[in-house]
Amino acid sequence: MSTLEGPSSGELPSAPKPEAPAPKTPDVKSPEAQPLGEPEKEIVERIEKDGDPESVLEDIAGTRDQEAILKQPTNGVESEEATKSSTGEETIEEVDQSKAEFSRLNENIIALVNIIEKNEGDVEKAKKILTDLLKARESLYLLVASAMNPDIRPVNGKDHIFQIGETQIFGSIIAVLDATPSLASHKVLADKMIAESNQGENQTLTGETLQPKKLVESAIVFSGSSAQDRIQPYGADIDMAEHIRIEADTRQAAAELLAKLLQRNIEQTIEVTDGRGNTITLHFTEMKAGGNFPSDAAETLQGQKLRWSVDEVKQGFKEYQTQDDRIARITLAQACQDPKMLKIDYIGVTPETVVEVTKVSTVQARNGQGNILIDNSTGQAPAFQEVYFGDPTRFGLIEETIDPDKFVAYVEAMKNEVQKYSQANGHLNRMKAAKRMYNLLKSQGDLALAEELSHVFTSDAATIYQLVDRLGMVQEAQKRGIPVEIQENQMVERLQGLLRESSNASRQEMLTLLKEGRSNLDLAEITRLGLQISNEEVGNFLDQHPNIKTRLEMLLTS
Amino acid sequence: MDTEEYRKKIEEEILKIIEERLKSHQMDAARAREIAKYILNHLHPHITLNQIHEAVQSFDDHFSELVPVVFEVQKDYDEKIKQAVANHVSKLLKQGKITEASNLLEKALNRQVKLKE
Repeated sequence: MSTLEGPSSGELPSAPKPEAPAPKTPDVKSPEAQPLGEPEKEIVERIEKDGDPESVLEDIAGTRDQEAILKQPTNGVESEEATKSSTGEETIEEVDQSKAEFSRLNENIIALVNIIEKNEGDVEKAKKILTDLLKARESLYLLVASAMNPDIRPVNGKDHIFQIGETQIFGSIIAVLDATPSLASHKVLADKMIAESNQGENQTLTGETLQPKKLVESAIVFSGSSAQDRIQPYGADIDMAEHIRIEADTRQAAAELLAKLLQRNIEQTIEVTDGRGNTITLHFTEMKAGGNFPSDAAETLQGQKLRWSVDEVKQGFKEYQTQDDRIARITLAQACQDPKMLKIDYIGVTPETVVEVTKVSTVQARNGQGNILIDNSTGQAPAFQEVYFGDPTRFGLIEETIDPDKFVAYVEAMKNEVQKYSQANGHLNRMKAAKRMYNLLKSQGDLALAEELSHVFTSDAATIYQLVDRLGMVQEAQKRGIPVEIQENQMVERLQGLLRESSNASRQEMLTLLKEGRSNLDLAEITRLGLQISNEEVGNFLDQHPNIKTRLEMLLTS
Repeated sequence: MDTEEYRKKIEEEILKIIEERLKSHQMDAARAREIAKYILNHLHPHITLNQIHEAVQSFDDHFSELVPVVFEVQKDYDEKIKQAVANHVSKLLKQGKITEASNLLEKALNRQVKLKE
């Protein structure tokens, strides 16, 4: 039983936002009907407000004299610039000072991260200073972030935790920057997916009475692009993360409890319906737990991950062939003693689309003395990218964002991934590189550049990339006999519509492939072209945004 | 229309392009700001028509979105040159200065003529 608080019901998204289908589908609109971003909207409004064209250009360029703006007749209403620039009693000068201080803090944070990464000088002192600066930065980060996302607000009495509007969505300031109140509708899905146990009761397992005081707490969160709906309306999949804490006397007991938890919660099909009747049906595909096959497994199985079917989880064991041609078993409880990556994959089907849904569980089990029995955490700090449907302080997750080791590890991980996905050696994926760069810029406090970069996530390239990814899920669904023809047709039509808008060679090539008939889709080639289109268009975006391009080049050469 | 009014008309056309492109998501705010800064830096108040023409020719080197404006200004400028040349050639011909008229026409065709301001 989850010990999280929060509203007991919520609504599903009417369709996973990632797809942008035909106009009649409520969630996704044609480019012209899509709402403008705030900065774009402000400029359009300024142009429409009329006036001397030179003054309008100056306002757009931001070179207009602030004093001149304030002196403009405003009919008793504060001027736009003054409103944007003022918070409560602050003057424009104070806001400018705050912004300068924010820049200095960020520069110092970056410098300290570099010192710690390179192990130069007094690293322990550097870490202590970094912790202090990360804490000090939060109030200024909030000031700037609030201009980008007015829904963010601090939580009274709780350090480092921020909330989205009046919803029960919480997270670090860096994570909630990209969350909107719409995410609250995902809670219904999260509630269905969470691993629940009978807490505080003696439990019987295979005829044995277990030790009392076994305690399981869990929290489920949205992460990745699923948690960034403000800037990524076209995320390709739904990523959930689960944090499980177990208290048990022994490692074996903890593992048995974890196994029982998994058995209780796994189903072949899970149907989730929100208050408006929107449904998503989750079809289980596989669970990974326990790392690779044991060392006595046949040669053909060596190095392969243990993948569990629903039947295998329910029965509590998996059979495999050994090197001497016997059939051996590994129990689920044995696998849970060292679960490694504990991940469940689903194919999610709604009336409009097919989407990959994953849940990755981080398990920490301790005994009564606090000693660790099981810990499959990766050492990375998920709190930078997770939003929680309830107060996360109980899990101590938010503290990660001011932990210097976690912060440095996160920054390093993002830099490495930017470099990895920017190399033309088979890994080139500019959209992924852009996403990692966005996360990096946010952590470094460069919110202006992050915001500029975020526009690439609402481009046609992003939609095409996502639709192609989803066609992959369609094929996976069809292999399993899940009927998804209607969804496939809708997605192909949407994809064709987008491709027709440009005479670009790659797009036309993909259009030709899509015309060859639904049953003959060459998915490998379509995926290759989808990536090519995405790479081309992100490349164009970078050419049009020299500041971002320069920063990327600096990252790649550092 | 005097030169100042013409300069502002060009700025208005540019603002229209920015507005249309923003609304159709073909441009983002950062790009709009870049364009605005560039225009302000190159189209100063009280410059001559020749200077306007010269400044505008560089617009599409940096911003392909402004090609329509460059085209229109070039067309306007060519029209003005054509009229000025036609008038001058006519005067030269009436004065019997055939060679000079011919030279002027050749220069005009090779865009070696500027408006006198």
